Amino acid sequence: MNYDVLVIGSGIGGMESALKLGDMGYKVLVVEKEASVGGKMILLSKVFPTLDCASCISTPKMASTIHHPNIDVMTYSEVKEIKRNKAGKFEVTVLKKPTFINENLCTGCRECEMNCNVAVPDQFNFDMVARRAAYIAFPQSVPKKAVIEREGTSPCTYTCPAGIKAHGYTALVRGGKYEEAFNLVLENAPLVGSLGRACYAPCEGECARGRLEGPISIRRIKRFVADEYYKDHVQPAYGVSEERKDKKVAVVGSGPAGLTAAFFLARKGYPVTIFEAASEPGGMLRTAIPSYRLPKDVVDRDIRNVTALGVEIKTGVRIDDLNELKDQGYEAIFVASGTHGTRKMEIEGENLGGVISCIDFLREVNLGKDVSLKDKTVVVVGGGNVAIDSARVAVRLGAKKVIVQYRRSRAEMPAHDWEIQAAEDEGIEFEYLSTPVKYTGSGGILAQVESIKMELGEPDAGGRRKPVPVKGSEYRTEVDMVITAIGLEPETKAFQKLLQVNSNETLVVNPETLQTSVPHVFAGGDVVTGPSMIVEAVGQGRKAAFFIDCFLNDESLEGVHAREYEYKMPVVDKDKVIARQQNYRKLIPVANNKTLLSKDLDFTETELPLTEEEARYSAGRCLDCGVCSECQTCVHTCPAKAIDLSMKEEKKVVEVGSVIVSTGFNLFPAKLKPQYGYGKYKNVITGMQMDRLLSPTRPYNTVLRPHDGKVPENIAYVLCTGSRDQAVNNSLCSGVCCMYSVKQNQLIMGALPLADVTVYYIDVRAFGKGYEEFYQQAKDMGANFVKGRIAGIREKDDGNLTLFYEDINNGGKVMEAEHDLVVLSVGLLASPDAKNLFQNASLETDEHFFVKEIDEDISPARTSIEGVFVAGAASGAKDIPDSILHAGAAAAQAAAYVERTRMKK
Amino acid sequence: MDGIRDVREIIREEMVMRDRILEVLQEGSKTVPEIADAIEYPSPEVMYWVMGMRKYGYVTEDGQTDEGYFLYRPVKEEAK
Amino acid sequence: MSDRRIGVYICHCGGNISDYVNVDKVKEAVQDEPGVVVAKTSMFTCSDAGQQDIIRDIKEQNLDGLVVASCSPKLHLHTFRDVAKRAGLNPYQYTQVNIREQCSWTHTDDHEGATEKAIRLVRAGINRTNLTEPLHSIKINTVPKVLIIGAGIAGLRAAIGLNDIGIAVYLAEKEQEPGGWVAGFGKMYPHGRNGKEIINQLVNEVKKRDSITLFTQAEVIDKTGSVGDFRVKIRVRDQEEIALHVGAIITATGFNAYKPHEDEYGYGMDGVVTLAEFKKLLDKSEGKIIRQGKEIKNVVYVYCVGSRQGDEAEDGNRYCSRYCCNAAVHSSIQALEKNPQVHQYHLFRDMRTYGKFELLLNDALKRGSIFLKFDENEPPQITKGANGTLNVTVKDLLTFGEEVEIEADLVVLATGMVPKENQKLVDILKLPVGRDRFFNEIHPKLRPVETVVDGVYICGTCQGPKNSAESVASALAAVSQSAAILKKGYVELEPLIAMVNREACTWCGECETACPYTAISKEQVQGKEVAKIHEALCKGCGGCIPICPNHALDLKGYTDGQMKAMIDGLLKEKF
Repeated sequence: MNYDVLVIGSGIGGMESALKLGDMGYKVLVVEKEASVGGKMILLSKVFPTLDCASCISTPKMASTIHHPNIDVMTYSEVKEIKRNKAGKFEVTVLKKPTFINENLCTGCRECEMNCNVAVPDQFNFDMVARRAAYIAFPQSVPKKAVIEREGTSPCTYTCPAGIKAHGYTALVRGGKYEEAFNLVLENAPLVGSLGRACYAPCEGECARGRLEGPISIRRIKRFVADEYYKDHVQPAYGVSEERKDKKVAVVGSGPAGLTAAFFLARKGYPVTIFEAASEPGGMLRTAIPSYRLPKDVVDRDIRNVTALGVEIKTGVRIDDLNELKDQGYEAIFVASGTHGTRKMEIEGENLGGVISCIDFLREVNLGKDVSLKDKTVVVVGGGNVAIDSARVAVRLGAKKVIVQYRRSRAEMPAHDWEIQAAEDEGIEFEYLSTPVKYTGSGGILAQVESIKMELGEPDAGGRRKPVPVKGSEYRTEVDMVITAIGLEPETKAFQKLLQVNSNETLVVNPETLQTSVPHVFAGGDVVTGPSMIVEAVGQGRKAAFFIDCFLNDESLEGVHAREYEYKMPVVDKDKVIARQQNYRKLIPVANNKTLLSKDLDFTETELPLTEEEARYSAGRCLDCGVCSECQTCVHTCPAKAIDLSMKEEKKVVEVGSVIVSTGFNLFPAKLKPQYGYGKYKNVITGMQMDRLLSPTRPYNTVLRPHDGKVPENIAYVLCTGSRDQAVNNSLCSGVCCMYSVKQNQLIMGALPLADVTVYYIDVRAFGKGYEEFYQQAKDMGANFVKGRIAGIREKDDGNLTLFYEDINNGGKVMEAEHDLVVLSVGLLASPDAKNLFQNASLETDEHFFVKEIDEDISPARTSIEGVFVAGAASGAKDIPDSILHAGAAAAQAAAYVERTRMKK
Repeated sequence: MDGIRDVREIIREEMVMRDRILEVLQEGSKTVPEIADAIEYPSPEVMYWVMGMRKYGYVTEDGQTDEGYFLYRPVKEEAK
Repeated sequence: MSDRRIGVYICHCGGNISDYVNVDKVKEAVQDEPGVVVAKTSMFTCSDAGQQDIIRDIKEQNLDGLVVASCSPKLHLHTFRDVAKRAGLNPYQYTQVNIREQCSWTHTDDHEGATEKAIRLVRAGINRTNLTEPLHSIKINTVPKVLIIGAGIAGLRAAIGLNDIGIAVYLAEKEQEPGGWVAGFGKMYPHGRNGKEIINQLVNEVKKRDSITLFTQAEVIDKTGSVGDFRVKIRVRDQEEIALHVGAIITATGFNAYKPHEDEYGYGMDGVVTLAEFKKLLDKSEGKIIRQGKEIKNVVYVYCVGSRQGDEAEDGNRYCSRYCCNAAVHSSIQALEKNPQVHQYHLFRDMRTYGKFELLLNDALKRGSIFLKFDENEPPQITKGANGTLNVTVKDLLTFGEEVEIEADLVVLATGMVPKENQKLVDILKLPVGRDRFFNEIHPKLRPVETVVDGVYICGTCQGPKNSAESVASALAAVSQSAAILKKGYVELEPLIAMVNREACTWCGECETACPYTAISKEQVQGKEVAKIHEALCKGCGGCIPICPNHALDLKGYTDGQMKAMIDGLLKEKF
């Protein structure tokens, strides 16, 4: 699509240029970076000197711009670059930011905004009030469509292997929406309670708050959510899916991967049967994780999330022949049989009674076999989490001494530090840099372990220093039991005739789809990845379910649809997140409380739950890294089903004949005048903020002091804040502040008849048509004008402010005055937006960075680039009437340029 | 509290503070300084929360005191 | 009862209305009126969302009438006509009811009364709408030519601008030479360009172009027709009359300089000059500034002469002349460039070097100009001193009211701009004149170069004080506006015009006499003499209607029947 003219920015100037050109018959493209056209003017209350409301003037222009047959408008879009091509035209690249809301479906009803769980400062109210991450820019927005502010995927959510929306449920808990939080987790994982306890929480490792006082306790928040929900819902709130499909699916293994796959398949309506070799379902959740970490009633309840959907679990059934399942009518099979084999040390005496693998040991205990180690000595060999679990279980079974032997030092130990710490607290001894070389005993029963000391040598391929035995350092320990925990591996021998198996016994799959070499067989979880985290297995289960569904629907596993599986926006940069705030209040994480350790350890859960208050406090520490938390509330509440979180940025390249830059101005940042206390004293506000307070769409119920909500009685205006001021490098007059202040004086006197208004000025610059009369009118209404520049402002305890000034008209004494609200009439600065858009030409600016008009006397609006014009305040501070005239001038010349270049052809 | 807090942080906390403020308002309509006293937070911060809650329909004004403060009361759930 | 299907929309105007008028009550009161099938309130009816809502209703509910109760039709009549059009409803089956200006804004202290009045007005609007018929605008092909009156910098630049977009121009200048004020200027602020050179450049460009015709010593003597199709007569050099056929007229007739009256700040005394006179002196000075053989070493500027005149000056100019602070400061810099030894004193009220002109003020200060602020109630006094100098005394507020006495060689009065005497043109073009006696635009923001006369535009200083570059910007804005009309090739005129009931008409000629637009003449229809309305000329003013002794005339869109129905609506019930 080609256009005659590109207009950058849709403030009053841009709209005027576009409308005039459109009326003349030229094709115009307007690009606006915000979600609505209208620029800054639409945010004003009324406009001088006519006192029309800004909405009444702007909204019809906004609507005409959008509906004009010759004008196309791209909102929420940015011009990225403009290049003049060989034909002399401009090639323009525009990026349309994703709004995450289907524009054609959105009705502007604001349901998403009303229910959104992330509060951020409302830039359209100049930070005086909150808006939501999902929002409609302002009530008169054109188009009136919501957008969702998403800076990217929050690091916690991004890193979760199961794709659980960690940020989302944290945001929901922050707002007290626990049930919604539970349901959100359930969207990605049925094992909410188990993950809340036994997940290794990679999310917390990525948490941006970790750079401050420590990460948010995301896992414990999840546990809180699960506990809250399970307390009231002994059974899931749903039953078998209404959608029924007839293709049966078999799942081999009822661990996290298998359960999760079954869950998602059953939700889609597939009849699913899980085959479990053990006597009870749950896989490692059941058999490997000790119940002081993960109580088995929680596992049971988690499993009910799956079985409620009609999933059948056949326990005690070991599947060795996958073809048999096929013969039984299962059209797809998911193998998730885990890693129930243990590696052998291949040393003497390994077969003695009393030498047991950790997996066997834990399974026996977890499945309720009565094992007592009373007064026994136990050596655990290994340094992983399973080793620690075994040791801590041994302690709980009454062992008098438990020693963990690990061949490297503590620093290299793969078990989590907090696990090691807990083991130490429970009296477990650690022998680092040592490893068994021989088990001895009599009558086939273990009696001694012979170990050898190690030292760390050169780093191995994985970068860890390799332990080397120290010659002659052998020593012996009298023991009753050795638990070996030196590595787990899958037991896949039986599948080998059908499937490809790696040398480490894991199954070969396509990592993208989890499909094996046999199309109807998929595999996932530890049997594919080797020993990993629960949450990893859960992720694999969900992925398998997705692709099994594709497979059963005869869809390509590599199509566009499949590529969209688990699309995530790029992760947000944590440095940028932290840099968003000037300062942070210290919010110390809730300590990881444990049940008090007693001599008689039992299998009671060691970690105490968060109280509701702690959970909300913890969730309240969240920094909303991605802004939108992906909590899905809008997805569920939008009546038009318009939310589309997978929307992506679109790039558009167009050719235009001429360009009008109408990028407007920036407001002077009042913080640069620290003596006025803006940002520090809450009752010091800017003129733009006052305009918002006076506007019909105001953020408060009327003009109120931000300090405490009081109706102000005595308001001061400080003119020339940031204008005519060398100290802040702006010697220019901003041209509008005197008049907008005078206008506000009149409006305040109307809205708050009891309030006094005093204006501290240097010169009152009422220079335009009707302005002087308007100024005199304000004086006649009672506004008090005092000539004198304000030197400083101080805040009193009650929020009132003392102003210091030189009273020029009355003898020049230094005076003090008290006011209860101060308005800084901030000036206008150049906007840097347009400066660097042009690739092979330079858009010159003046010494104050406004776009330079190279021939203002004869051709105002003409810039240093031929065919590029500037409209409105982008070329220098202008009031609205002047901006509109200037924009008309830009339009006339852009039209002339288009005609001239046409004729040349 | 350690000095002036970042507005972004205060505004973010509306979600945490909302229920506490609504609870305090169950006792009867209150002004911003009164809410601030009740929940022990500075009034400028409470102002952000109450105004956010007003914007999103949780509270509404309920008359004015002689000192020029508006009173706020919770909006009933069904009326929302 | 009515078989119409009317939608009624009552606007909150974001509180502008609903803070005073109970819009829900209005809705309830009118929702069961005959013909009404939809009655709604809306936060901003004019917003895009509000418009979309109306369009949806019109389509879904098959509406054949629309009533919008919001603001003045001056603001949004076209907005909602357009809404109707987009929804496929004839735009003349819509009625605007003004409950903002007429209710909420006028009765801020009486909410009940305002609400009651709003109900009555809306009912009247509904009754009118019940009797509406589809009307179609009168399409007139436009002539792609523009007459520009005044060949100063604004007129010249507008001529070139229009011609650039393919529109032919007649440029009529009253004086012997084109160029206006700027032709007489040397260095101009802020870029230091020479006014005369700029004008020469523009005049050469104008003369180069075949499709720009420049008439000098020309004045407009007659205008007929309407937008897109004007017939204008100009008289050139007091003899030749030329008839022009144009689509639009741009007025760029400029300003007069304020002439101080005798004794105003010593005007009339030797050595007291206006800024324009001083500029001429400066422009011809090389090095030292010599006047009447005497070197000028001390200059006093008095600001706001002829501008910002307070209540005490009868018929005074209340307005600020905008350009004079900048021009005077710029002159003082120019003076110092010629002779750095000159002492200059600026006696001002407020320095209005707005925007980037502040840099001029900084420059003047840096170069040593002295600024003294006087109170408007205690203006500087200028008296003749010894040896031909002038004594200026002033109370300086910047030094806390200290009385300062300055011996000056020259006192420069920074005189403002006043409107040109243009009564003849005003009468011919029917140009609206504002309280400041400059020509008035319809709306400074919505329609800044348009006047109430369709197709007649204003730009430059005839509209109000401006500097040269600002005049050019407004001239080019007028170019955009006229091109926006003429490039399309046609304009659509309001069909709300008079109509004749030929059976009742007996042609007495009363209406022809009454019509101020010469829109009525006699015609023969089947042997009978009856009145004829010229569609393009009739403005729909209604002036002819009550005159007709036979009630043979009626006004489309505002028929007697509709007016009566509206009155019935207004009086429907007592409150």
